[in-house]
Amino acid sequence: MAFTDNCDVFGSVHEDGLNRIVRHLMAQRPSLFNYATRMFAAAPERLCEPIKPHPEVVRRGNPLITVEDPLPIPGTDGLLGMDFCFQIAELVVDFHPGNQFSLPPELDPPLQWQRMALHLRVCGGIACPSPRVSDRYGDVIANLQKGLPAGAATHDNRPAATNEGQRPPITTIPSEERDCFCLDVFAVAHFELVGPDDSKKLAIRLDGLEIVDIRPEGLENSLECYIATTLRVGILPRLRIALDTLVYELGAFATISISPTPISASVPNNPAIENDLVKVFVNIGVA
Amino acid sequence: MSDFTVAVSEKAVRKLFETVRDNTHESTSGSDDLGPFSVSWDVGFRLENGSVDLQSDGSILISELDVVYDPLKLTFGIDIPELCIGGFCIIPTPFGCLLRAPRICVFSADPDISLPLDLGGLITSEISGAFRIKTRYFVDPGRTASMTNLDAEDAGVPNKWQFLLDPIWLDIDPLDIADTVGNILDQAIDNVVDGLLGFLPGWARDLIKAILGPIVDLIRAILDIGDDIDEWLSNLLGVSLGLLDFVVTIVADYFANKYPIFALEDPYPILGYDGPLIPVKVPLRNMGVAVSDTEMVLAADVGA
Amino acid sequence: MKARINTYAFQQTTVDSASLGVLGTVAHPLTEPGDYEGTVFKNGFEMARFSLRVALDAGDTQVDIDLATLPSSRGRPEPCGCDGKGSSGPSPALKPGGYLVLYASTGAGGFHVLLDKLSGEKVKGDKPAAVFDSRILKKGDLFIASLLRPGLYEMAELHSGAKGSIVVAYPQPGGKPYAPPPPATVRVSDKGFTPAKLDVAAAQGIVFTVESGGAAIRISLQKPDDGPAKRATPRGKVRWTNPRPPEAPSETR
Repeated sequence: MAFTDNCDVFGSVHEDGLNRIVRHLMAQRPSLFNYATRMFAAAPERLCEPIKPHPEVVRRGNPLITVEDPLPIPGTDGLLGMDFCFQIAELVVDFHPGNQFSLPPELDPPLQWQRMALHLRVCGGIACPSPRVSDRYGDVIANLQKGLPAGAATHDNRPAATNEGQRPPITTIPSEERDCFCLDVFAVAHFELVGPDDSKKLAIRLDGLEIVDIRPEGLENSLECYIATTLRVGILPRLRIALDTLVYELGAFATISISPTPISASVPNNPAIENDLVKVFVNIGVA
Repeated sequence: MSDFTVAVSEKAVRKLFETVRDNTHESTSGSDDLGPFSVSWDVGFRLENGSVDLQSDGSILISELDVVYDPLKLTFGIDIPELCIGGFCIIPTPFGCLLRAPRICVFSADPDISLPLDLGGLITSEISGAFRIKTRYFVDPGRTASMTNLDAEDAGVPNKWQFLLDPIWLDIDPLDIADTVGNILDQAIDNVVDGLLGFLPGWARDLIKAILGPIVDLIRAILDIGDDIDEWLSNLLGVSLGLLDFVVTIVADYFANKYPIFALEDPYPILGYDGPLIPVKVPLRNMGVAVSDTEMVLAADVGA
Repeated sequence: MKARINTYAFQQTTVDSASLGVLGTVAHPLTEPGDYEGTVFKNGFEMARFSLRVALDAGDTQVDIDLATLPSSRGRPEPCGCDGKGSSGPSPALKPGGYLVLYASTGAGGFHVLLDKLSGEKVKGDKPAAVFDSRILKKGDLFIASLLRPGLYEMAELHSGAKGSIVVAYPQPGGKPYAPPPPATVRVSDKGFTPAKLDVAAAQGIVFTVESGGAAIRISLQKPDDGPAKRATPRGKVRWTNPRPPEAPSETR
């Protein structure tokens, strides 16, 4: 049986190859996997997990970290926050049949047909100020509150705008310490081809996510929601691979149009995840 | 199992082949003295049509690939014999001619009659051949030692894995000459002679033509054309001028060395530039290709 | 590429034995051994000289003198032993009974020759004996004409007044190269031309054999035959550069 019995071009990536690609991705696009405040961007050695970027990232001045706003401290009217970092330190992909790692019971093992499992090691940390420093900032906040004229708070309880019309930027409370933690996160996902017909991309769609051993359950659920949303909205959309890339850019080389082979009895899944491979089936047309 | 596998059906291989075919065109010029006449040529060719058939022995058979000769400009230099009057015997004897009239020449062409022919697009031949895919790691000569892989991609000189059609054998069929070629040749000859003698009065032209014979026949005789102009032109172009050798050599070299049927960058770009963020490129190792009677399979591993 | 056209050959319509041009040739037999000198005149003016020897040990039965290419005799102390070839050297030698052939390969013509015998019989003292004037053909002389232009010609013998006609047929380009037929023969005698009417093909030789002395033969075109109506010039795709047409009446090189 030939690869192209039901299509013009066939492309496949083995999970071992995909995991090597993920390691290259983490080295060449570190900012996709590392999020932190400006303090950590200026001092990456303080991150919870060291970043090992590709030399070209440094040479071309690409960021190691995506800079995020500080974690706001409630009650400070948006004036104060804390530095934090959030890192995906490791990512392993396992295509059906799952044989790289075991799924937690919450994700209904064994891995389902046409599904892939993800194992992420997510690390994070907050730069926690000392009590003495916190008290000092508390005094400042208290004094600020006293000095406000009655009814001066805006509808969202933020301080009124300055004379220049700009809200003051959030200030982080300095800290010499940071508390790091790492979580084992498991997810189940599948592939979809998204986008216009002439430029389809392979996208990862999360089906479920589970953090192991977090209590109470509500906290675990909240964190799972936060991480899943971060993946769905922030990270995975930036990891879509063009269909043409999966077939060695055949469409560009031969100036032909490529499109996914339609789903049929012969091609029930496109893309397909089976036998430790992700497969795509492509038809060609005249460009 | 390789990390990356791409299989290309016979239909898709044909599309790849068409790109090579459509980019193959070459030309040459030269001249030669073939005795009673000389010929100079400006010849080029392009390829059209052709069928692709993958073979179970791992080869690719390409059949009925048309070679269209265009341009095909020939210029013949023809030495028209002198036309003289007199020279006949006035007093013949059993022992020979006792008195002979002097020979006075009234017409000659110096140095040659130049007869240009434009046969572009009118002559074709056919090539068939069997090829194997050979893999070559190509380092662009424009890439300097100080360039990183990304520098090379930005400069348009990245390293590449190339797949070329290496000929096992090539056959080229004799030339297929359109019916119009004979007419063109006849017309060209007539035009040349009429132009050459054009300033003479009609009776003088007719006399010269009569004495030289129908000029077409004369030139055809000089060119040794004979009854079958197709065969003559085929022989002239193919054998005397080595046109068929030229075509076969060019096609073989083009396919085997100059124009890959397929190529991909190494390191291979998975993600392109995202604003200022550099592309994500992965090295490909252990690149291999296998051909069966249904598909061509390219397999590689992702390097560390 | 250029064509060399002897335009005089195509333009000459009168062939005169007394005024030789490209289409007329005189052959005079020489039987007496000795040294001879010929003086060539063009339109009455002396142009050149040549020398000739008739000897028993000579091998040639004819000596051809091209009157048009002899070097000019002006300022030249000695006659040119040119043998019509334009270079000085020993005089050409002719077997007794052989023919002196006088012709012009090019040019407008107008030549005649006076031949003197310098030594041998009939020479008295140092004074050469005039033996031949090509303007007056003697018995045994031959006049050869090749007519190119088709049409009706009149042939006339100027001393006797005899006349005749010659019709030159229009050439027909055909399937085979045209070769003129063997020469026709006309006898010139007291009775005039025999035959008096002649049909020849273009470029076919006409040999007039003089059977009585004192002849001068002139052939002149009476009515040209320019062939069928103008043919449409075939037009084809091939471009060709015309050679520069010659300035008539001059020779194209």
